[in-house]
Amino acid sequence: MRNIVKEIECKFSDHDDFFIEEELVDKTAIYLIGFNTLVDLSKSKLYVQQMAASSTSINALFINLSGQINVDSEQIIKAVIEGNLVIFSQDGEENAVVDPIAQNLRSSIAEPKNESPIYSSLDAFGEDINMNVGMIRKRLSTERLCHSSYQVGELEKRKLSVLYIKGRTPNSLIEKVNQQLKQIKSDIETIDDLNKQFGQRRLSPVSHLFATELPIQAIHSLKKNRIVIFLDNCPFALVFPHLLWDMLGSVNDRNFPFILSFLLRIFRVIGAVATLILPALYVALVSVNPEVFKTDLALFVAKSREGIPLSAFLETIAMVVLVDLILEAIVRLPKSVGPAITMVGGVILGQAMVEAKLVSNLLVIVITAVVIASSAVIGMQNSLYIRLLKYPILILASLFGILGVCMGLFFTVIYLASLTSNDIPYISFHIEEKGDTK
Amino acid sequence: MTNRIQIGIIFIIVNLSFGYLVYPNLVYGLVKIAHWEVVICQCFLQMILIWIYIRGLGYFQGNDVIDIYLKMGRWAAIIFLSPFVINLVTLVALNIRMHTEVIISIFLPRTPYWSIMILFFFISTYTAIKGIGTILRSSVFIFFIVIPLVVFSFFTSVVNFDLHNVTPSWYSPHKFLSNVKFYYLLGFSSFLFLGFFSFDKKITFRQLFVSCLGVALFFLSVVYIPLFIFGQETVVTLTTPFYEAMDSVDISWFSFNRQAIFFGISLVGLVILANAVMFWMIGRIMKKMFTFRTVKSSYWIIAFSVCAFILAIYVPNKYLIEKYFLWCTSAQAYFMIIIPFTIFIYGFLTKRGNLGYEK
Amino acid sequence: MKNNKRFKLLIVFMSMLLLSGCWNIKDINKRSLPLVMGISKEEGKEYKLSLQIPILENENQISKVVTGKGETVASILGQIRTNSEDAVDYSQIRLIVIQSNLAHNQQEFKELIKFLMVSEEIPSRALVAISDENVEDVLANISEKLGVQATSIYDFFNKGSDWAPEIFSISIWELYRSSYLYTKDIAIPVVRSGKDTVLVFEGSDILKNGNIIERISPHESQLINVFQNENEKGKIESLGFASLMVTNSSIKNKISMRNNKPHVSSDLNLKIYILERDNGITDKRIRKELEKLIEKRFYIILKKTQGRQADIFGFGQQFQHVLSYHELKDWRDEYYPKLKVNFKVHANME
Repeated sequence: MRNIVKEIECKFSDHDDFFIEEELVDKTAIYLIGFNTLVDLSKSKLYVQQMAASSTSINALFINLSGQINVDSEQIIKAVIEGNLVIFSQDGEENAVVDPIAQNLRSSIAEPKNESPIYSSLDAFGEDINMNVGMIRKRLSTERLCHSSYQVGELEKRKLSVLYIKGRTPNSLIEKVNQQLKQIKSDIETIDDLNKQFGQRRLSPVSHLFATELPIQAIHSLKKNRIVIFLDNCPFALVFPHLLWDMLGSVNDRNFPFILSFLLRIFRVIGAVATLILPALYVALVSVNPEVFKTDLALFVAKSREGIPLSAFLETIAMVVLVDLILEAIVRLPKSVGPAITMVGGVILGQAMVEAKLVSNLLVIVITAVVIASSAVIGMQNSLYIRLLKYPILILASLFGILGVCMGLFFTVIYLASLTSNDIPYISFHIEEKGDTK
Repeated sequence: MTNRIQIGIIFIIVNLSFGYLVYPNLVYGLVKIAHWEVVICQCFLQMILIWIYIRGLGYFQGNDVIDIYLKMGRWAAIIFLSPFVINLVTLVALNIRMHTEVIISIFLPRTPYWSIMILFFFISTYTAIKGIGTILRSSVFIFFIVIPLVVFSFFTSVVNFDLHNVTPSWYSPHKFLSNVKFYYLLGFSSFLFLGFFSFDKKITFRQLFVSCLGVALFFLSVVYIPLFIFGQETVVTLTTPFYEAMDSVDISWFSFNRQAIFFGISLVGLVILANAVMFWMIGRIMKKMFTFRTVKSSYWIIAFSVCAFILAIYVPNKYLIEKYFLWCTSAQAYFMIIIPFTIFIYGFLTKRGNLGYEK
Repeated sequence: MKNNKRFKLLIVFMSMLLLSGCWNIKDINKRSLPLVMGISKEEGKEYKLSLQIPILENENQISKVVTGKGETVASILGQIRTNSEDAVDYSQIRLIVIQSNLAHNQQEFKELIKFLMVSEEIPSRALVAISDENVEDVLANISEKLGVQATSIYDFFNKGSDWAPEIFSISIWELYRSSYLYTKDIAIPVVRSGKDTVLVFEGSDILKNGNIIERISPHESQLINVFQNENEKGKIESLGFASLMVTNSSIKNKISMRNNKPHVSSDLNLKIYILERDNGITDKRIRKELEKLIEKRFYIILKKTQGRQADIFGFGQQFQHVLSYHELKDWRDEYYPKLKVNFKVHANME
């Protein structure tokens, strides 16, 4: 029955990359169907010929080629869309879905682009979900590593893989995640869409998932009783749940002796806290509470602000916004124009604004310290949200001085303490092992 | 494990927040020498009450205070707990108002007090709404921020000590025990929140013992630091002796001028958490007592915090605040005696089998 | 409806940004920070108050002196606030110079101390000094002495005991405390403006209950310092035929009560280093001369203060555990005049 073939041809008639090729095997014709942007046609034909040479009949050929034989039309369409090769017999009654030699649409294992590990291995996750899961399996060869996969979405079906170590991750967590993933109805396009499925947090800058590019980090998280989720075409391992300590300690620290890694983590803590409170502290100490300074320091600060037309608060807000703009703009620039803009930005910020007496030198020093400190934490997302959190504290400080800084800091701490993902609080030290050890 | 540490930390924080302002004045008014006796007696009495309370709670595992009262009977719960709620509300209002006045005099002499009170009320209510889990977790963080500051300000004030200002001695006829003001002192801490946790594990007294010792040490130092710096006769003339003691310290190599800033910062942290705990208690009581209305506890908390705010604004001046605060703490002392005793007696009798015993 | 609510919230939030100029907050460069305050009062006339305010425009730090007159100190402070071009912030005041006429007036001095302690703007850490001269002259001396920093008057008192062991400083809260203590009296340093330097240290005034009793010389006030456990390091003594420097010192007191009379034996141990000596002078002679000199000084002061019932050395503090609290109240009147002190100096070579 060539009806099925005709039907499929009609369905894909306005896809110009759809092909139906006729091949001769043992003097019978078979039809090869697929998208030639997804299937490498010449190599696949060669492969089919090779298999045909060693098979006795068309049926045997089909059995040798694949496991999916005589599937219905819906599945054929799905298989064609996914990039498989479908082979029809001459009369259209028998068909087989074959995994072809695919076009090489993927890049191979490369170096991480968003993180720069020192003293450790340099492989990063790639775009293909199977490759990513494979990288993990290669590094963590234990039979307790479990893998469940889901396909979610409306317009397109995206593959999700969930990895966990059985016996370590708490069972309740696994069941909840399972339930939440099965309930997904809308499309998952970005990481944030996935994030929303785990519990709606509308105004929160902290997400439930922590993205990492390094296999070592993902494996370490698995060993620490967490779940790793992979989304296809997304080169990140998403660790669930996101805890506060991800920002401060990475597994690569432990490549150094303990005291060194401890010191590194202390520096990160100092960096995070400094980003939050330094600009606010400047505004508070200069405009609202200058009696805190000793005499010499107070006179020095007063002298450095002599003749500046803006008030301390406006000055600080302008500089802070400008610096954040520059940090954002540098990300967008192509490699050729980037260095020029960086130089201009540095010259403007550093030299011209100070010499024009628009901002005081002390503020430039403070802002530089803030920029450096905010990049000391691990993870771009974490550094972004810490940079965001300093604005409310800055506003509170301009109203209430040092009291505002304290209040802002305490409020931030309380807010972070109130976040939970699936009943695991954001600030917990570690997730207890409550899984089965079957 | 972490639960125990967190409870101990919350206990320390709530007690610390009461002790800075009015407590030293009372002690100086009571005795002229041997102040440590007053403090130690008071802490000892407290420990006895806490022990009775915990034993009483131990008879009812998994239930909190409200459930126990409800077991006694709906009307028993309302009689005991409604005045307690009123007391808590006034305590919160006066506590925040008093601390706002002190903070204004330390940090911001020009800001009107209502704006700072809005800030305090907002943060405390927000914390209480988020639940006990948030309170416990954030208490660990705030503890680690605040306690180094407290310890630092204590140690730097040693610079001005003159050890001979204080005569170490006994005060053999314990006259102060008969002075009714001593019993006001009891109200200067709050352990009643311990009954509002409904854990499945029992809280034992041993876990809290270390925290009690810490609190006792703290009260001792709060009373003795102004004494060491100023001496007994001067101290009674000052209105806020601890603050003045902090203000008198001048470290030449340190870039900050005023030690009182650290004192102020620690006060802010302590006040926020203590008031959050009290609001949370109110929320739970109201929610469990008035179950016929199925109102979420967060609405109760917001309503009561607005009441407390209005109350706090309407107290006209500083002197009245102190007076009202003293009344309030003595009322709390009354509750601190009644509630543990009733729970203990009730539990004891129930265990014995007299289930039909009505209080 | 939801959009409306969000819009209102946004408005509230934006208006908060405008509040930051609120409540009269002034940046630090819009404030004047006076460093030194001078108070004086003539008999029957009104109070006069001068403030030294540093000006930060040029490279040199110069300062100006602002004077005001009024009925009370508080009113003058308010008046200066009104008339100044910047907002005046009194929280950086470090030194208060009081004219000696005012200091000798017991009633007014006491009130002044109380005002300074209770006032929230003036920090209670500020130091106090007395001057015989006109207070404005003392303050104006800085502007005349070229190349001198604005904080130099304050730095004068804070050199540290190693660099200048004769100078001591006393703060407002110590003054306030002394009017209530039963067992100790204090001394206030006396300064005057110098010809080549900004200030000259002239000695100190002993204060008992707000009453100024005696004036003693710098050497004697330094001895008082020693009894309050300040080290005598760096002090230079000259004996006419030799000069030496004290490198270390320690003092030990032993107290006892005999026949209801208090008795103290103190031992002062000194380590000295000889700087210059005439020919033929032995170490032993130098040591003996030094010991005699210091003991003489001590007994002179003791006699003077015992007669006036002012316990400047703080012996009463030592008797706190021997006498009961009520007896201590009468320390100055009853026990102190009967006090016998056995003071011995032991000098050793470095």
